[in-house]
Amino acid sequence: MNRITVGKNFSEEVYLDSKDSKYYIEVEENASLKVYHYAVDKSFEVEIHLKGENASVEYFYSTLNRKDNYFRIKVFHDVSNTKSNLVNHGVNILDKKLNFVVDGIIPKDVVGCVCSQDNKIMNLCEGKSSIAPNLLIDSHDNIANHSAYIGNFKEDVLFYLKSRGISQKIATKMLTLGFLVHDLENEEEIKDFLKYIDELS
Amino acid sequence: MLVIKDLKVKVSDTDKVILDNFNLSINEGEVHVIMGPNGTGKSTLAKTILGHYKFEVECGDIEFYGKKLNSLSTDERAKLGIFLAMQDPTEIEGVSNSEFLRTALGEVSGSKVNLYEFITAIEKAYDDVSLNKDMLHRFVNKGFSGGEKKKNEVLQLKMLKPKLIILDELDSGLDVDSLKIVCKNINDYLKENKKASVLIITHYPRILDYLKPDYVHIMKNGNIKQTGDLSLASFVEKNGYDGINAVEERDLNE
Ligand SMILES: Nc1ncnc2c1ncn2[C@@H]1O[C@H](COP(=O)(O)OP(=O)(O)OP(=O)(O)O)[C@@H](O)[C@H]1O
Ligand SMILES: [Mg+2]
Repeated sequence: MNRITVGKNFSEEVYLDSKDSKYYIEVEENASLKVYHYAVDKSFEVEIHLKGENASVEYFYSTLNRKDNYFRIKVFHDVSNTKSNLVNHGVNILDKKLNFVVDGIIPKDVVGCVCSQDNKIMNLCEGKSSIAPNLLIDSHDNIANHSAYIGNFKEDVLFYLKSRGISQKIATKMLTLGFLVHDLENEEEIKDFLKYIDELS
Repeated sequence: MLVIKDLKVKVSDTDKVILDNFNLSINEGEVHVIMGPNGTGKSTLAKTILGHYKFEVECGDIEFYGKKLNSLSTDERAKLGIFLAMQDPTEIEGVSNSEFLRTALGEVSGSKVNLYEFITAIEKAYDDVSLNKDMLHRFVNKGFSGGEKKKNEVLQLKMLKPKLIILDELDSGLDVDSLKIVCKNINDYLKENKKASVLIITHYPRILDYLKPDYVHIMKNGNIKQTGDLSLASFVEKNGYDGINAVEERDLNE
């Protein structure tokens, strides 16, 4: 298990190297954490605790998947006025399973939190995928929202790209890149992942 | 360059026939106009020329410079030099205009795009169609106004240099000044590329003040009912499409 703690008043941005399959993350009072988690063909369990007031986390999980894999992430809003934003995107290349289980937990008496999730899986073939978004919220006065989409890139979008001479293969690569990579400024950090996208066919 | 013979097209996976017995020939350097009531199949024609997935050719042929398009994929048709400026351009999340155009240019030209030349050309194109260069870094059509989307289509055609340009209601969504600007761009393009041809789909003769057509076709119920010159467009403007049968009679009486 890999532990990450962001101390009081700190603001951090991390790239997970995916060497471990379990991560335990704590964010303390007035601290913020941004996580970029790029993965290829692997399963993970992530637990996040927002432990002090005004703690916040943004988590970007991006995966390219060929085998059966899952991503399980839980965010605990342990105290009031904490914020989480999870963006979990997967591209399921073959006909295997990719499952996301995403929990946002706000216990009783905790208020003023924002808990949002955006879960999307693109099945390029006949892949079997599932998304289980769970918002376990015991009190009012919190803002929670989630969106979930399982499907493929839209036909209209592919048609538009192809109508400009771009082949299906390159169009799919471009859309995969746009869908999974949120931070091209740090190309060096994710060059292996970009290589995988480039090798897609 | 483009020959469409006895084309019958239906909506994929249904029995709904939209184009039936459709014929049209366009030669190099010609400007054609198709007008016709809503839902008559004009956009279907434009999309079918590019092999849109929603439509299926039941019979008939589409040929471009003698090459049958029927079994070619959409990108192969585009690579032959056919460009469709769409009635309602699609928004593409996650793909920037610059990445999109650079990739398209590489695919269409079949060679690696020189970044410096690309940037010089595209910045000029943005100025030419009076679009803000910041749009280069925005996602394709995402959040663009109706008119900006149309200008962005014209910008793309300037970069991709097609042989056949299909304009599906380019004029809808453009204000008077913008319409003048994009038409000037198209006219300049036609001057530089004398063999290039245009197929204009429109409801309003106004665009024809700027883009002078050689032929005006009136389409109704899935095929062309009448072909004439600019005066036919004016006739329709005055009398509507119900008058088209009357035109046929008028011609007979002449
Ligand atoms: N996917 C579809 N399923 C069923 N009917 C369709 C489909 N796409 C188009 N149509 C129908 O085909 C007919 C022709 O549509 P098309 O868009 O080609 O018309 P148009 O001549 O371009 O009209 P407008 O002037 O309003 O743009 C319409 O009746 C339309 O409803
Ligand atoms: Mg139309």
